[in-house]
Amino acid sequence: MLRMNKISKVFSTDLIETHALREFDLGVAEGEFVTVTGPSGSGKTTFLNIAGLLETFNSGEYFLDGEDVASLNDRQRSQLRNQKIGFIFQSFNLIPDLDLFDNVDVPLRYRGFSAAERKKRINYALERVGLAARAKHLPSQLSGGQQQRVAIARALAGEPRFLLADEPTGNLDSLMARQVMELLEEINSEGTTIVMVTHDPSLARRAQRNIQIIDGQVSDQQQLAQAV
Amino acid sequence: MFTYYCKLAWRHILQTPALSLLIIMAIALGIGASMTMISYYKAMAHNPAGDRSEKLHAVQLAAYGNDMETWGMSDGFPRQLTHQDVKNLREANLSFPSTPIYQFMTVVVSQREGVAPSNDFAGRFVDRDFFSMFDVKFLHGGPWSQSVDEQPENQVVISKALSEWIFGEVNSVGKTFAMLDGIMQFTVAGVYEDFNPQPAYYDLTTGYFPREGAGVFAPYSLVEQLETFPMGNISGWQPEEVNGFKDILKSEYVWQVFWTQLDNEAAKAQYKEFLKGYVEQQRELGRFANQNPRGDIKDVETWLNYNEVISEDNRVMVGMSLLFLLVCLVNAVGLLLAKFMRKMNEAGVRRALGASKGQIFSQYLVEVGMLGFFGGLVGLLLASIGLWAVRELYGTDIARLDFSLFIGALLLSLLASLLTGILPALRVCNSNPSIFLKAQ
Repeated sequence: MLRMNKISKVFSTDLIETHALREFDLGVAEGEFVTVTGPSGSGKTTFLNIAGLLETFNSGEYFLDGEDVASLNDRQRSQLRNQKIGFIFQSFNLIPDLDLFDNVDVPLRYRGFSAAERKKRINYALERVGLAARAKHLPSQLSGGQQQRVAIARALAGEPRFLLADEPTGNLDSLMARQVMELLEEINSEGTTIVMVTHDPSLARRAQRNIQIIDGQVSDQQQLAQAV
Repeated sequence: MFTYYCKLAWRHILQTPALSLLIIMAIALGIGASMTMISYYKAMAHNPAGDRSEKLHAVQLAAYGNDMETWGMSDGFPRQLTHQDVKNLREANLSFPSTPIYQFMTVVVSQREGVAPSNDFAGRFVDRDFFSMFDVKFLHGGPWSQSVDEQPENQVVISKALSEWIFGEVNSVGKTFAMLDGIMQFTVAGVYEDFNPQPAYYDLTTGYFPREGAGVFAPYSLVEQLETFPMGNISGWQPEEVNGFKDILKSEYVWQVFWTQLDNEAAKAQYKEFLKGYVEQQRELGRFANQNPRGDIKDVETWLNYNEVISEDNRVMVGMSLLFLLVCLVNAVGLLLAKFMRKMNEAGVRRALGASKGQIFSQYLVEVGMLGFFGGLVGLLLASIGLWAVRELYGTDIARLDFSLFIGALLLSLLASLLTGILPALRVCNSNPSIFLKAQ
């Protein structure tokens, strides 16, 4: 599903160059659930942003679902991101002035679906996370856990094959974190590939594989369970 | 996607009402000021003669003595003519349509019950050709007959408004009424619908943009008989003793204009040759003794420019108003940046969810366009108020917002706002989404 070969990413200012990723190698198979851990500043988020086509890289190769993304322009990358990748963020990143229905609608709009198709998908995604009855509520009217479930619904509505989660439980209490994690596991069990950055060792252990990033490189990989 | 962008834009405008209102007002003030000046300028720049512009010519003569090196306008011609010269030009009997013009004020007596005589009406002495040359449209009757230009008769052509004021709503052709001294009777030969070209190019000596056109036209052949003093500018290059109207007629004072219709180059050349001969003839009679005696003809467009109907000040004002628009737009750029910076996070989320830079750019440009559209509408309202003030200030009836200016204002507003919005929209779409996604 994902193959990175010797990816390097350098952030440059006038005074300093920061090597966020150094000859970073990683492969993620289809249907796998991989957690990424590492200390702050180790390059976890940079890896996630490059994997999600939100950042470009300085050197190396990146194949997403067999496609070499280095040669794609912004429009093609956006299209690929829209069709194949779902994002879940630590701070949910729901659009505060849109109700839940319209929030879930956002990626579908850029996909070019008809109104009827969008409505069907939105309702299904919200039902899936148990919030269909609150479709007309604003995010501010929900708890943190509920907001994260909406974010998951938004990520799932386009039926992506690859889900990137950046500390999705970081802002949640343990009960809500467990519920969100169970939801992600359920999604993974249905075949969606998930890469999740987390600081929580107990959550990291629940994935099939955990990789540790230190100083922009994969320092350790642990196979924790068999892929589904 | 356009309707989706419109929906988002409307939502964003409602979310930030104060900032949006400031942007709308910044655009509106610039559009209002510039459209006021552009509308006024356009009205002044209008040449109402249309396709007759190149045919109708004002005649000028450098009719002054040796005492003066030059006199009149910058080219050494006075704008008006002496009565002697007008009389001579009329009597030259050339085959070209022509007419002298001068304005007078008159008392008119209404025949309607309870309506007091009024001295508010302006009249002009003209020849019969005036009506065809200046395309006066008749409602009833027509000009007086050709013979009246030679053998004066108390016939007049009056406006529909004056006809109704005197007689009520009837066809007044053939009816008589009292004017000038309030006793002298005049017969109506024709009634015209409306004749008040703006600017009043046929006679610029009494104002460029009169609110009312002439109410009555009387045969020029009556001038010497009626002894009616002119309204408007009278000037002379030498002091002369004038004790009555007859003295003015014989004087070197200039106070009338003379128009001739020359349909082609041959006619123009012929008329210039005629003027040359006329000047020579007058020199032999002791007139036109200056160093450079000559005659000239100017077509309508030249005549309007020559009389500076559009002054340099007006051009400067248009330039200033466009600069003001620019200042307003620069302010709008700052306000838009402030407005859009608040939306960086949302733009980042949208980028993460699959929006391309182009889609984000389009979305924000639609919002700017919507603000520009509202700014244009408010600007049109301000321009209407500005033009009303111009009309009140200058006592003219010109400078109104017509359909083309209405559309022009909206297009200008849209264009200006889109140009204004390019930088803020680029800032939003080119921002790195990952920064905002993590930072939120």
